[in-house]
Amino acid sequence: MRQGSKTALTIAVALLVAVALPYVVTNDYLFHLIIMAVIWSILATSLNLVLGYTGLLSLAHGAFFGLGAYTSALLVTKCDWNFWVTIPPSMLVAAAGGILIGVLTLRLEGHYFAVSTMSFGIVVSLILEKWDDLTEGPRGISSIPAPTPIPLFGLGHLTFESDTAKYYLALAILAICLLFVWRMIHSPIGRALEAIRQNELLASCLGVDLIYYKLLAFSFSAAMAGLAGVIYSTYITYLNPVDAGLWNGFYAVMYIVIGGMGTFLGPLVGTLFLVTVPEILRVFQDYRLLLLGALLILTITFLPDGIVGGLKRLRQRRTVGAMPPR
Amino acid sequence: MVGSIYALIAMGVAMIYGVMNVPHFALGAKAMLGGYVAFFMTAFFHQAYGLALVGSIVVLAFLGLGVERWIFRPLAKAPGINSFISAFGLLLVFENFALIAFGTAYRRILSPYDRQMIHIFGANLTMQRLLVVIIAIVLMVALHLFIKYTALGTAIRAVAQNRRGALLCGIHTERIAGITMAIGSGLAGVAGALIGPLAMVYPTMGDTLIVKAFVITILGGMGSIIGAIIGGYILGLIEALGAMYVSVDYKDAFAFAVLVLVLAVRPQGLFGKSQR
Repeated sequence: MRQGSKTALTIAVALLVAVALPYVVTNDYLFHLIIMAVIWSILATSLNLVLGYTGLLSLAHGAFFGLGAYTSALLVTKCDWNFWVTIPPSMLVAAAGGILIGVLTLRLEGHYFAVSTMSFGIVVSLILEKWDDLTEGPRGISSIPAPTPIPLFGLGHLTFESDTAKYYLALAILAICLLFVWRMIHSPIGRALEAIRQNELLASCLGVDLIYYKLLAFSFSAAMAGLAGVIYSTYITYLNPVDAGLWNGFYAVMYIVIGGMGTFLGPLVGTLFLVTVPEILRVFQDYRLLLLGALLILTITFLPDGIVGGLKRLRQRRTVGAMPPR
Repeated sequence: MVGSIYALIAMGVAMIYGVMNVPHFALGAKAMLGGYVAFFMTAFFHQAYGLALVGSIVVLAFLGLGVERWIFRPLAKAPGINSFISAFGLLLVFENFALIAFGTAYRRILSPYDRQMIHIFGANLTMQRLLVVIIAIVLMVALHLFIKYTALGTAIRAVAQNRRGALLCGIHTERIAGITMAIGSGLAGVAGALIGPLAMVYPTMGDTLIVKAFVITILGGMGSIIGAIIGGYILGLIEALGAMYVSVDYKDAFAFAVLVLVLAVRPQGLFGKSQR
């Protein structure tokens, strides 16, 4: 019981800090970085469901992100749809992409899967670039409007023009995604996924339908990545094929690995750390990616469960007073 | 011609994957480094292109040894995902090192063979293009003979088939892994040096190369060297024919379309061992 109330307190404090942030941070650029960190956290959380909890390295999440972003942006700019109505189709398109590539490759062994998802990502950004009539090609889609105001029944409208409003929107979506992932990993589905990650053969012998559960996790995760893309498109107001490219997916992998693979808070910690710290250490600007690469190798070698996992082990060691079995 | 380059790198990927079970994503970046080694050597030694080729093999082979010892060996017992991520980190390090050390400029390796034209069967091509094909084929044959008939080659095959079994027979598996890595990296290096005079040498040139090489190894079946060679030429042909008859815009997409089709029909690749 004490443990439960402690967790509730931590969540309440974290929420309070997150809500109060726009009033504390006055620097516009820093605030922009924080909003980006929230959006990338949504993407990283979605990827964590597959990479961290199911043990599948997907490099197509940049593409799902882009698919969601492009679907929403095109529907809003070219068909004048209401922003909120574009969210379900955007998530569906991303999920459909996930199911398509999943059906083809999920029965394959790990590395085949990683490379096939990567190929899928390349094809998606290539199509977005070359299908000029629909996507405006390399010029990209510009002036994507802010989300449509929501009428508040006699109390005026809830508008989303300002950055602060968009920050709260992204934050709310992140909270919903986190809640969803939390519920999922603490359900029988989550246990099946964990079994698959630890030992596929054993899991299938125990009656876990491998393809079904992998596809389930993968399509939900793709839809969530698409959702991250939708928020990104309405915040940045400009999209081009690079946004759907491999790098966003690669970065998401990096955030998770450094934050902590398969830990609930890992994606958040990793994203916050990697989005803000390099900007603060401006001195290393030229060496940023070089250092990140080295950091990635060091983390995966010496701290396979990342910052969060490392802290967890440290705390265990302190309370138990001995090395935890590992 | 492009097929030969793809095949060389894909062979490296296939060997390293077969022996170490590591998808070495940074091999394209090694081809890029090989290109730079050749570039600087031709610049210093007055267009001694042959020397530059050998130089890029030697330098990259040593780099491969180091990478195996310090990066991949500590990860041998960890899940497969970890070495993939590590290889990706390595790619970032190599590329950005090249970016910082050599700048973003596109460099052209000067090769004395680039200006000689020859005519075969009514086709005109430069000596350099022919040289690429010949060297690639010679290397492939040599590697095949080496793996098939020498004691060391037999040991490499043994480790690829069954690591524990090889260990029981007294084979130093870690040393074999290092040697394989050196060979694979050397192949990537010479591929970079060979393509240098035709295309340009620049820090991100390895990206397309390695993506294609991975598509090829999957096409041919992970770990199968023959599959890598044939897959390389198939891919080169598909790209050339597709660009000519279908659409130049989507040239790079054909490779992936073929990959998805092959995987749908034959999940273990054209020449791969069945998994079950």
